[in-house]
Amino acid sequence: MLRNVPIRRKIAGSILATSVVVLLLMQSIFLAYDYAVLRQGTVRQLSTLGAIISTNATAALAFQNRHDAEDILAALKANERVAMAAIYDQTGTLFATYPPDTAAATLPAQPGTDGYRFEGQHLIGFQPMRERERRLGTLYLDFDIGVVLRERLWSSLRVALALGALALLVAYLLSRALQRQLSRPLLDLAATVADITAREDFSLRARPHGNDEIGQLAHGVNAMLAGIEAREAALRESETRFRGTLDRMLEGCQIIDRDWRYVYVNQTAAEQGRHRIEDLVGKSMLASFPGIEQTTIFQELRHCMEQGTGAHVETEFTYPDGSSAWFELSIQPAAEGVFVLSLDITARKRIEQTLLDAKSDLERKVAERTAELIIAKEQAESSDRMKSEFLATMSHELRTPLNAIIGFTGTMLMRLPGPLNAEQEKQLRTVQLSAKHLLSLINDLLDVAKIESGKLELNVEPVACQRVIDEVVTALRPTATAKGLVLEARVPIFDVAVLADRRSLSQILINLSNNALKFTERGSVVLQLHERDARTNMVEISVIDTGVGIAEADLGKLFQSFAQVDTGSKRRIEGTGLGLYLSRKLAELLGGRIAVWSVRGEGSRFSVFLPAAPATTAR
Amino acid sequence: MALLKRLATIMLLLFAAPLLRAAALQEYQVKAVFLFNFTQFVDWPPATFADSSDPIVICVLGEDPFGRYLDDAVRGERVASRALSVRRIERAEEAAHCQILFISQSESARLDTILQHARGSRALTVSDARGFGERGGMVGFVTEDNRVRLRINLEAARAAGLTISSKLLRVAELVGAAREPH
Repeated sequence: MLRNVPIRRKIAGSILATSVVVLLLMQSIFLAYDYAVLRQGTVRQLSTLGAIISTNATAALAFQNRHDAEDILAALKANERVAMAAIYDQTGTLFATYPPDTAAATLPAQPGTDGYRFEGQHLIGFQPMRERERRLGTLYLDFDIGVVLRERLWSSLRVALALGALALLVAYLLSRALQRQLSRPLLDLAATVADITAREDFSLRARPHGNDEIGQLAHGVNAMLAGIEAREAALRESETRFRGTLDRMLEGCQIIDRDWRYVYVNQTAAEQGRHRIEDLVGKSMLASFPGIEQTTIFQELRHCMEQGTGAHVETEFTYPDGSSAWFELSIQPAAEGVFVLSLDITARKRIEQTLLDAKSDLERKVAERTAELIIAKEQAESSDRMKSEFLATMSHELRTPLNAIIGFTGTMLMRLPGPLNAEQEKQLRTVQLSAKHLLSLINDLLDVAKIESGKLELNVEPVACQRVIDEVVTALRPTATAKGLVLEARVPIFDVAVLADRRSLSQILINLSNNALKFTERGSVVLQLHERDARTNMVEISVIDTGVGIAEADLGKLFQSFAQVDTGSKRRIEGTGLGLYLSRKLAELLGGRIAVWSVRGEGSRFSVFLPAAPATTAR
Repeated sequence: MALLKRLATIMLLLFAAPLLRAAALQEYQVKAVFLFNFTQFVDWPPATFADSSDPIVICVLGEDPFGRYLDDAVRGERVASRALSVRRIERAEEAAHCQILFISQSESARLDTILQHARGSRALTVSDARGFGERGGMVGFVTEDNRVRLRINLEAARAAGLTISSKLLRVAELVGAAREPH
């Protein structure tokens, strides 16, 4: 609120305000001091009075002369401030009063503590009365100080007011003289600055009056002015250089203000717009390029102008004659509006288009080929499926007549239709054996077909190995006995379970055991169940024989379909050649494998490894 | 017997206490206090005492009208470094060492002889005998309107070398020996 008051009045005002504050402070202190002195003086005055009266009145009190005591007290009349006085005897009984007719009720019933004290506007005193050190009684004085105070206050105030008025007058006259001295340099400086601002002439300089703070301020202003002058020259030079650079740039440069007028256009930009620079600068963009409001360029420019953001766009611009060109635009917000850098990218765009066309052609061709391949693949798959289906169907169809052959051959061998001679029986047995061989061949083929066509259904569950091994041993015991071989199961005393399809496990073990029995002439075949391998979590079941063994070179082809290993014996051992292949496939389907170790002439060991079942879940 | 007597005194005091209080300002009680108060306002010449701790002796000559009041009034009191003592005497010759000599009314007849004797001592002579001051005594007690007033024969006091405080003189009536010879 004081900010806009001229400095002359500020200086004068502050001198005056300081004077008033100091004056008020001084007078308050003076009044307070005066009051304190007055109180102290009054106490002294009253105590002196009390001392005199109490000394004078001792005999009157000692010899109980009330009349004399009241006479002495009557001397107080000389001091009109004494409101009341009284003398109490040794026992505290009221002895004499002043004025003599004072009612006892208005006086203290008993003398208080010795001494003088203020009570409201009264100064009360209890003065001991002594004669030769002996306490005879108490003098009571009541001094009305209010009157004194009021009188003194009024006279002090009158003096203070008069002095204050005089002091203010002097302060006012002094401040007028002083402010002129102080404010002239400041006002000069302010006028110079105002002049510079109005004329924008930075070559003007302030005139310093001295070397005080205001003089330093003037020097500072002059230094700043010199700085501004130098800065402006540098700025002008820089702008000239900058403008020259812009003018000759390969990119188009333009500055457009908020009313869509061109503030600056360089040569390249004018050429891009197919105008002359002079026809664009200061003119509206809307007038220079009719219909530009509908283009993407304009939308982008307006967005940047309104949001104060930048943008980077590639866009096609169509000229009034129908031809078009591609531009890459970099739009920046500028003080005037927007600053636009434009680069003609028409040639690049044409190449890109050509590349794009070639790419799409290529993609089309790839798609055609892919379609053809899919058809071919589907045909191949369907023929494969047909093969498997054919095999399955055929195997089934083949089995049916074989069952009839085996069944009736058996009936005849049991001599149910009638007696047979030795030759008939021998031939019938050959028929039965061949038919059984054929059946097992077909069964194996059927399984292979199922596996290969993915039709084999496995019921994987925890399976207790001991039971399966028992069943296998029981089933094959007659064959072993017939060949004079020992068939034996070695199992741990506790349950070992695997995750497997029960039927498949059984089939694998029968295949392996059958093979072992087949290739063993003497000795034994042992089915050994091992404990779970904690490291791999697999369970091994081995079939160990003391048969012919397998040559190391033959171990590789052992598990291929329709492969039979040369046993070295003259007799060709019956078998389909599918057993081991099937077993391997089944083991793999169950997540396991089959391994073989063999020494020629000493025996073989086939092991199937299957995943262990979680404990206690086996059935 | 002694015990019974003491008991009787206590009983008497107990029963008489209200009466005593009612008559607190009995004439002789006041006079006893006044006798003591004289020690405050009267200065004896230094030669009166052998040394500074000599007591101030108050003597009662003749029939004692104070009873215990005088002993009560001085009990435990001191004036400057001096203690106070009360002595009851029969003959004026014994008054040589008294500072204050109260002459009982019983001695009125022999007053002049007594005063004659007393002049040799430095005693302040006090009596409630009628016209005591006029007859050469120093301080006389006069009872007016139930109040005890003082009459002082300043010349007699000065003759004995005593200084009486002006404050005491202020509350007393001054009399002369020669004015009204009795």
